[in-house]
Amino acid sequence: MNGLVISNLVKHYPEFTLQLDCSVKEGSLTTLLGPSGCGKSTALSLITGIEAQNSGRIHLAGRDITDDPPWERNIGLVFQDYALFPNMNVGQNIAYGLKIRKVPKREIARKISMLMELMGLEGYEKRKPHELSGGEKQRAALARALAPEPDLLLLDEPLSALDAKLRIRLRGEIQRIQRELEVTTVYVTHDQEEALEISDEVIVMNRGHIEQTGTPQEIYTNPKTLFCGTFIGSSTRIPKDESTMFFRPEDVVLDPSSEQEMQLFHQAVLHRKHYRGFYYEYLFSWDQVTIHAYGDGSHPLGTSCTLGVPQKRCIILRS
Amino acid sequence: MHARRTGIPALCFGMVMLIPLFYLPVGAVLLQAFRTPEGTWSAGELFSRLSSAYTWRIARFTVTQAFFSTLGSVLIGLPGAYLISHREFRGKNLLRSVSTIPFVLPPILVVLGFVIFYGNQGFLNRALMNLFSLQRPPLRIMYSFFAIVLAHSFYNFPIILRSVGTRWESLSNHYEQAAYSLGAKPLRVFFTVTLPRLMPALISSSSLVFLFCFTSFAVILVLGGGPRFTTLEVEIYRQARTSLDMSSASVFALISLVFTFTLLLFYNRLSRTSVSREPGGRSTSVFRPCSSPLSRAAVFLYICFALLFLLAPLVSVMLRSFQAQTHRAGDVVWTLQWYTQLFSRTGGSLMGAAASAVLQSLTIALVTSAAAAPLALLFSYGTARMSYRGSSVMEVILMLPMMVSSIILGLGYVLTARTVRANPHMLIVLAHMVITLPFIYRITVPAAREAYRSYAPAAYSLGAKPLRTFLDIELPLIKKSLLTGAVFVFALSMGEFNAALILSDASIQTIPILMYRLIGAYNFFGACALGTILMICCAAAFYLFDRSSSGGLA
Repeated sequence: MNGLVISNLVKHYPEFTLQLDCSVKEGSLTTLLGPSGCGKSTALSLITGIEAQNSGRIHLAGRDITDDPPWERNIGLVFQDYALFPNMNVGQNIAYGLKIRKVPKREIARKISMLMELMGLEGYEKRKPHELSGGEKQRAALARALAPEPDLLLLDEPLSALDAKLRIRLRGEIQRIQRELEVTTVYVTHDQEEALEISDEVIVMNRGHIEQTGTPQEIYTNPKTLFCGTFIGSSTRIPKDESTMFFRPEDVVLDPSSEQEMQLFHQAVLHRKHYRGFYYEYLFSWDQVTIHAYGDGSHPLGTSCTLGVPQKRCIILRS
Repeated sequence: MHARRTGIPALCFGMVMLIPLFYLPVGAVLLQAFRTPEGTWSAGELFSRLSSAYTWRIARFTVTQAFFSTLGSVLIGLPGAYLISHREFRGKNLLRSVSTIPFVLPPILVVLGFVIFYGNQGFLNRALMNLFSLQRPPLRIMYSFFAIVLAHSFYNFPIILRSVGTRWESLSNHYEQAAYSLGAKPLRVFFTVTLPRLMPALISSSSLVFLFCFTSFAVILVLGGGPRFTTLEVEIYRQARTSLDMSSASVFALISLVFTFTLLLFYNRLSRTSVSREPGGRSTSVFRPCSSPLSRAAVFLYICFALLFLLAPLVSVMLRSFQAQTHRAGDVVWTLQWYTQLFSRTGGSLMGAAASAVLQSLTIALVTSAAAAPLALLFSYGTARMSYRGSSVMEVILMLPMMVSSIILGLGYVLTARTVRANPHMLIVLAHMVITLPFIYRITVPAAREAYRSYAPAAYSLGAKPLRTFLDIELPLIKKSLLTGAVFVFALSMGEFNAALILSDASIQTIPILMYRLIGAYNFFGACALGTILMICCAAAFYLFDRSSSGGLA
């Protein structure tokens, strides 16, 4: 396999241990998703070689890069704070990796103009980093990382310093560019919406280990652990003996016409509703638990109804 | 090889330099405390010194004067800290920049300025005598406990002002607003809400001031004026140079080191707790102009007082250098005679040595900054790559030269130079390099850390090896603070007095040493002229640096 393969990678800290065993398919965009402190940044610095692991191997594009220094790994990096070299202009930043590889001058110029066009940065070549807006810095950093044609592109929370609207626009652009260049990409984020939108695969991390790996659809509809289920989207959890019954609000039917193959909750009382624009989120009380459902808002508070969830949509997770 | 390890060779090389230049000489002092003058090992001298009342009187006086000097600095500095962090007023920038002067002001100039301004024949007394037609000088504070405390407070209150002021500015004022909204009155809010949050900055800056006053030398040597007001540092110098009793000197050094080391531990503990940031982070304090006439008057008085306190002694030195008296109680006339005497043969043995002293000082200062800058670069490069724990250990190793007084370091050099024959100029340069290293390191390490953490991983990922990353990315980013540091080193070395004096022989004549000799010969006019030249040299260095950094580098 020619993508990124991480086998039994372990890094110990006094109060934290990271364990990683996963792979990223060649040409795919894979997201490393998890809350802050889950070990994403540590994973990143192990992959880039800034930190040394205690054990395990890393393979990239068929090479074992575990013991390679960072400058020999051929990994493109885009940081949250962009890290554009302040003593160089945009063009020099993008050219830097090519100059190190002793690419001929004419080839460098060609590549810069190609990347500037791809990123929509035409005319910015002579600007200094501090003269760029946040979004422009972000794109310049992406161009710099892509210029030497890395075997892996690593994006470390690349959009978290930007405002919400720009974030949504740029993640579309990142996805477009990634598809166009077909570069193997690892995208680190804590934003589940971002992860669901752009990823081919999602790796959910928690407390230093991997909770689940899968396509966004698999992770959302079929979470393997309680953490995955609750970290992404809203849900209802009903404790049952040693395990927990789990389902999504869109699977809840109000007063179902047929009760076949349905998990039923009788006499659930609507105690709150949240306006969400074109729908309402309903919160029902049933036997000391809260059940989330969606509705059109026509039900008054205090309504008592029967709620049904198709049996196959109810997931049993071990607590 | 992983990225962090690239710092290890740099640190090893730095330590190879620092160990023989600092740790071995200080170790030699500690060993000497357990030797008799005849060269045999014995703790007898140590015990007899430790049990003598004389020793404890000196130690007690050292602590007492340091305590009152610190108190004075806090009382003068605290209102200023409030003003620069909370109020908008004319002269604020002036106050800010003037308050940096004492950081690079040579102590010998402080001493001279005090004599010229506050002395019996000084500007203040002259002005008061003229104003109230008095026959005798009304203020007689020279050569007293009060003079020492006053000089120390003047020299050190800006440390309190700046460090507490910076902290105060960074505090969120939401806490105060919350307290007011709960019904607390301003004074109560200050003591229950504001002061506790300022405490870490206040305590750590005052312990620094205490340490500086504890190891102060030139001020005590001149203003103390005799055996009544002697401190451990002065006693070390006296034993080593006058009595030539190295063992006694080393015992006093040992006592001083134990004191300062205890204080260092205390300081280190405190500075670690003070790094915590306030939730919400950013400062929300609003600069208000002063509204009520009373507060405006108070601000005005404080500014005048602070500027007078800081500048008057220095301005007095400059003015006095252009003056002469026709006879003992005669009129003052304006003249350039002191300057012509300094640079001609007619000036006598002391004044005539000025040209050589200026040349020696400039050479020593230039060589020192040229040597200290690469060493500081090595250490900042190395520590920037270390983990948090490792770099805080390095911090202590590098900050120790700041905590060990330059007199003790000088004594260490005297002791080691007996076995290694070394040129005294060379010894002074090396001592200055060690003394100034903590300052330049402190200035460069934040830039080095920022360059490594924020930019080196990006350069590595693009394929640049450590050396290339250093030359292309890190060095350009560190260059400016390295130059700032080198200018500081130059100014500090120009004015350094303690180590130079203890290491000096007949061939050594630096500006501060010559000034000291002129003061000793009661040639205050000549000392003022030489002091003015010293000020001009330091100011010129800062001016040139400022011009070059705003032009070519930015």
